[in-house]
Amino acid sequence: MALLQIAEPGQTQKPHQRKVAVGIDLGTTHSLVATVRSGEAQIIPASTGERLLESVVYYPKVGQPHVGASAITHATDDPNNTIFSIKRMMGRGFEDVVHLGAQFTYRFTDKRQGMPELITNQGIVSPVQVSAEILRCLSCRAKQALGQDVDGVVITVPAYFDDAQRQATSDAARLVGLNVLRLINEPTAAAVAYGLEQGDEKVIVVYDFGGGTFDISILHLHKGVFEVLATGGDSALGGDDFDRELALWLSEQANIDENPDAGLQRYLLSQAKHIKEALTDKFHVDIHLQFTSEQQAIDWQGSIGREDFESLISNLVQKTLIATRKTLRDAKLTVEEIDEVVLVGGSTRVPLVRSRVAEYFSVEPRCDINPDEVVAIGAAIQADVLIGNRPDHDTVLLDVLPLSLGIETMGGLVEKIIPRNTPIPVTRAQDFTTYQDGQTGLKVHVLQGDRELVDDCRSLAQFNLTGIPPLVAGAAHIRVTFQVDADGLLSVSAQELSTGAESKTVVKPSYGLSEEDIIRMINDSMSHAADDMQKRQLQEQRTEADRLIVAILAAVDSDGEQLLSDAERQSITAEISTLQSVSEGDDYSAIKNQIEQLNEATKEFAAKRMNAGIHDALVGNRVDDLSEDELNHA
Amino acid sequence: MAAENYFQAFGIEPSYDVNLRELKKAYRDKQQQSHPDRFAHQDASVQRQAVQATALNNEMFQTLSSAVKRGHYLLGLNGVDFDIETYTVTDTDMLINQLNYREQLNDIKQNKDFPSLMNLLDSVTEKQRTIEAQLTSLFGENTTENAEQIKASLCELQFFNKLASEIELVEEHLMD
Repeated sequence: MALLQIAEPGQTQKPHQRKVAVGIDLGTTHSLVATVRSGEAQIIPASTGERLLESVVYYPKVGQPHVGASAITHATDDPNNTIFSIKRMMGRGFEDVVHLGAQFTYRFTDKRQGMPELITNQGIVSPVQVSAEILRCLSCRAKQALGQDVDGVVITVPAYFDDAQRQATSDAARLVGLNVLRLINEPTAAAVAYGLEQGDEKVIVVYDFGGGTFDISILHLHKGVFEVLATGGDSALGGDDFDRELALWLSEQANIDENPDAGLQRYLLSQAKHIKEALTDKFHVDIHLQFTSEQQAIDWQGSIGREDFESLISNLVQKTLIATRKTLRDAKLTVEEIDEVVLVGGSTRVPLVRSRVAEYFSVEPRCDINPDEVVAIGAAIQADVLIGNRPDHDTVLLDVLPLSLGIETMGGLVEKIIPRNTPIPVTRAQDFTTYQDGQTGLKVHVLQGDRELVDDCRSLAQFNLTGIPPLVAGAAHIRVTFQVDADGLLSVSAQELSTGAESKTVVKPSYGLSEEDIIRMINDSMSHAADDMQKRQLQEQRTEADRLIVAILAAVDSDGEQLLSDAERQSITAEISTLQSVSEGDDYSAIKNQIEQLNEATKEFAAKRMNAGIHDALVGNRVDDLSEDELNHA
Repeated sequence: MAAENYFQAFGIEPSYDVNLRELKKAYRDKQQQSHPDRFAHQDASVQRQAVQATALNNEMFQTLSSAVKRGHYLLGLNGVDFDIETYTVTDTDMLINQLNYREQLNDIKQNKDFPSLMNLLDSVTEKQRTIEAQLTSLFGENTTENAEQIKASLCELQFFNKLASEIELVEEHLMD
């Protein structure tokens, strides 16, 4: 068997051609963008100085969606149009979102298949579009700060994200025209940021506890190779859950109705978040709740101790350690074999989390890089490598498949084709046959997950293989090839082996967007953009026409008598009335042409006025210094 | 570089008794050379090649690092056709033995008997090692002559591997 010849890296790159690549941490509660400048990875702040961008999008009745802090200001007055934690809905189904529960106060369409859709002031939007707004905002931030277009991005995703969730993230980037160099796992990015691959071979654990997800990854590091040995976690567990526990506690303490309305709920959650953060440095926090909603008015004072809070969240922290143990087992390692532990994510600021992790591994975890920023920093470093700015660097990230891939077999069971934690990229072929004489089609249902029943796994796609030659049952031999690329994205192809006929696969992603959806959305946004631009140009030309007409009429009024012949005067008046009528129409270029025409027609008049003007000016300014002659020559 | 087989691709001699550390090292070196990350800034065809090369590298490594798959592959290299999925075990002792193990695991699951589960896991691990040692010597002598014995041993090893992962599942279940 011949192995492929691989070209030397960087050989097509010219030495001075430095490209701009950024790393984006698209988080549940906040997002960041970072880049490598003068050899150093740094966060790109907003022009106003903020480093974090809240992952919140507000859809106003008119105008562009707001992202970040300005969106949050609408959380209380217009909660239905202020979208928080959209990452939790990426690539998920309606059922999942219902399961996530009361935290979502938005209105959904009644579509039950695929990703849920939100009803906003600006119509129906999918989670992919909401995420795209956040990405657009970050890429603008980068463009402004760096003064040039971004050539490529690395976007981080939780290692635990399945194919549908990764695909949704990648689609969001495509919607805003970003060139995705790679999706990398957040924990791997954190390891890259710490530069732990230098020096001796070691095994590290990245404990990533963010706002909405918990990820645990075990990596083997050696000489620029980051090899993920195993990954695990819980994609629906995060610091937001701490807030929710605390908000529940608050409503019990303050005797708040069991089902607070959306505004009050949001208020309680934001108070809970503040209290949680305050308890990181303090042992005791005083609380004053003041809120008036349609339902009830609340005015409550009280306090909470750190231990009270810790007992509220203790089970949640325990859940992370159970997931950790499971992942260690997958990596066939024991706690003692772990050399370093890296903490990532805002929730690792909670003292109980730190102490439990330190206790579990018997090592002091590393947290010297800001846990909110470390992922974006790592992504920026890897983006710089991938875009080709560091030809001498051969950092490679060897990832594994986070969840097994399988297909549906008889009786609603899942047959695993690629088990979880298999290193990727990976290609695996599976052979199928027909069960009826003359059968020409075959339906394949691809799933991801580690449970045995179809219903317990995530449906990724349904494939219809058509064009199978009609043969007796069991004679056709169809080979379906599954390929997972380095980003963890799946693609499928199929071939009938006995005749060599290529079967056609019609891919219907269960959660992601179909190719047509994407193209439609991109076109929509482009034609909207084009629309907007035309409207603006039209408005500009109309304003210009008005301004010109007013100026010429005023000039004719004051100097026409003296400087224009009757014929000249009539021609100008005719041009003016033509311009007035075209500018009532919608054709901006016609207006533009007529403006030029009018300018042309009044050129001579303008010149004469200029001379007269100079004359007047000279007369006005220097009349005492100049002789009559000189004035006449002027 | 063209390689005749998976072993050669990693620069090691075709044998059942592979040095897993050496194999792993060769694999990592290869991954570093071919991984798509190194070609991200190049055109799509180069990237596609890199994905294919890396996927192949992963496949080769997975095959050689698994005791069952390596044996299966080595039989193939020696011209012995073997489909482990359809192979019928004829040794009745082995079958009865397997049934006993399953019953034992079921009882432990019912009684939530954690200590016995650990004992069972130990004895299964012991069994796996013994069979792997047997396979090493069978392959070391004459693969073609020992083919039938090798097939039986590989089947038995596969059984114990599956049993071990079931034990781990039960263990997780008991601990949660």
